[in-house]
Amino acid sequence: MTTTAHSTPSPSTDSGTMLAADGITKAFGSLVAVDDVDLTLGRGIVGLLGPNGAGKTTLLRILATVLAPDRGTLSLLGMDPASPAARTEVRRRLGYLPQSPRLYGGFTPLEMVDYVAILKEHTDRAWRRREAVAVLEAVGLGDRMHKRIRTLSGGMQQRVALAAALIGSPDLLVLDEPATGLDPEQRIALRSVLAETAHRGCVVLSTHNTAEVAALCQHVLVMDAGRICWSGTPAELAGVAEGRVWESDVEEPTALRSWLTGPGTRRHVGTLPSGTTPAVPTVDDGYLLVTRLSR
Amino acid sequence: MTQTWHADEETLRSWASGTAAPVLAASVEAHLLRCAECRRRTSTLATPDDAVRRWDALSDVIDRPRANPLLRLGVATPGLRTAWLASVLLLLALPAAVATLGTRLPLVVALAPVAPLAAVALAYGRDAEPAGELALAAPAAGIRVVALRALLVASSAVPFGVAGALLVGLPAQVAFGWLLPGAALAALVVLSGTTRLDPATVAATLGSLWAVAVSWPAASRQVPAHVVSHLVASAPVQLTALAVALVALGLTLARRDTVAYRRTA
Repeated sequence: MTTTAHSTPSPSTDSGTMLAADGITKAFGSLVAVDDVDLTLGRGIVGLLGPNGAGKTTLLRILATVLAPDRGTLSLLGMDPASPAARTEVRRRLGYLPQSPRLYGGFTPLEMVDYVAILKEHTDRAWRRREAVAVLEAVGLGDRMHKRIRTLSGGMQQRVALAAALIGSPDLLVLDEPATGLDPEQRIALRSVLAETAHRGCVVLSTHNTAEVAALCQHVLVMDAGRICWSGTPAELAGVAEGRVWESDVEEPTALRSWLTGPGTRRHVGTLPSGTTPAVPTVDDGYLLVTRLSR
Repeated sequence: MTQTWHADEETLRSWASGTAAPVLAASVEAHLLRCAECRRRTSTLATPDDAVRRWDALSDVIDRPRANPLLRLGVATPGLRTAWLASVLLLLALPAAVATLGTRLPLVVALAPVAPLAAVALAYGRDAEPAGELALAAPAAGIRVVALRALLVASSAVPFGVAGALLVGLPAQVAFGWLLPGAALAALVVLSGTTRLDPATVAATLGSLWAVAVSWPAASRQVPAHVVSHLVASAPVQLTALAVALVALGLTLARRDTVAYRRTA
């Protein structure tokens, strides 16, 4: 796997392309948030990993048809969102979880999900209720669906927004940091919820937590400074650091990055000094190496 | 009160299974409320299936979202309800102010058009959307929802203004004369939403300009208020307002994609 900044990530697609981006660029004034990104995604769960400010949220907002790109072409579920009719059709089959959902606290979770179903043009009231109850139960809020949203904890509010994204069984799910505010158990539950969508469609989610990526995703895209700088499976990302990570109790001049892992112990990624035994690499090591090499 | 009779088993069974005729069922229910003995006997009659069916019927009612979809979209959040309330209060206060303060200033013509203006600005506002950014990715996102909200607020508030003005005895040309200027100003705010301008700022600017322009001649005692009202109600001004409203709405329709697919964050 190459780790150059200009590689074109193309996750293995077992069943055709769900999402394709070609030269997507988005700038806010002089800040280029997304810089010439090419993507081809098929079915499955794809994790977008990167430091804060890497452009993950902007890229996801573009993929969710919330923001129009300045340049480049986009194909979502085989349709170009630049055309109004195609965009509406994409949105019918799209679920989106924004980074800060900002849900109105006066609704109950059931009312909120029902409302989002109305926005998604579902006119059958009985259908809406049945589906709303189903998605709220899927995110573990079956016993809270009649409480006001403002009385729920942050993690629960996050799950209400996730339920709203899931209503109507979308084929394309765009989730900005869906695991924020979830405990490990809920994260496992999230995986099984997403796996169902991934079976028939494409899930793109962002995170800055490498453990989440390993737990949730079949494929990882590492984003840095507006560009996709690496693409592969979580195991491959760990593999990048194979033979390039070691531990010692002193600072190492050949290390690209070093950090303390315990009292007096340092972990390093970079060129292994001769005579040193390499450590078993983790996704963390691979990620740190990849983002450093991309600069 | 002592019970002198008890319902027979067949009646209770027909009630428990939901097959009793409505009048009989109502009578049985009234009786059950007062008679512990019949309640006890009914509980032994009900099968688990009944319990499930009843529970489903009950949860169906409880779970059913209360408001209809139109109201959900239109006036769900406090921001939208405030917009509606403020519009109604403003439109009711104006004729009242005219009645108590006299007619030195063309208050209704100067200020009533601000109500639809504010309604539109608030319909564009972030707080108007209960689902926040999530709604931007929905198929219904765009000018349709904004227009629906503005129309719901304005159309339910405007009649109060017209009726109030007529009730305090203002001439029809004052009571109705502000409608088209109000529509024109509101349409300009709708149009501003398709640009990079902030609709709230545009609404505040246009509203102030209109109010000052209309009340200035009267306030400086150069022109009597009723002459200003006459002028606003005159055909040239009304037709100009209509033209501005139509052109602004036409331009909005042509540019509606900028609301549904935004280029700024």
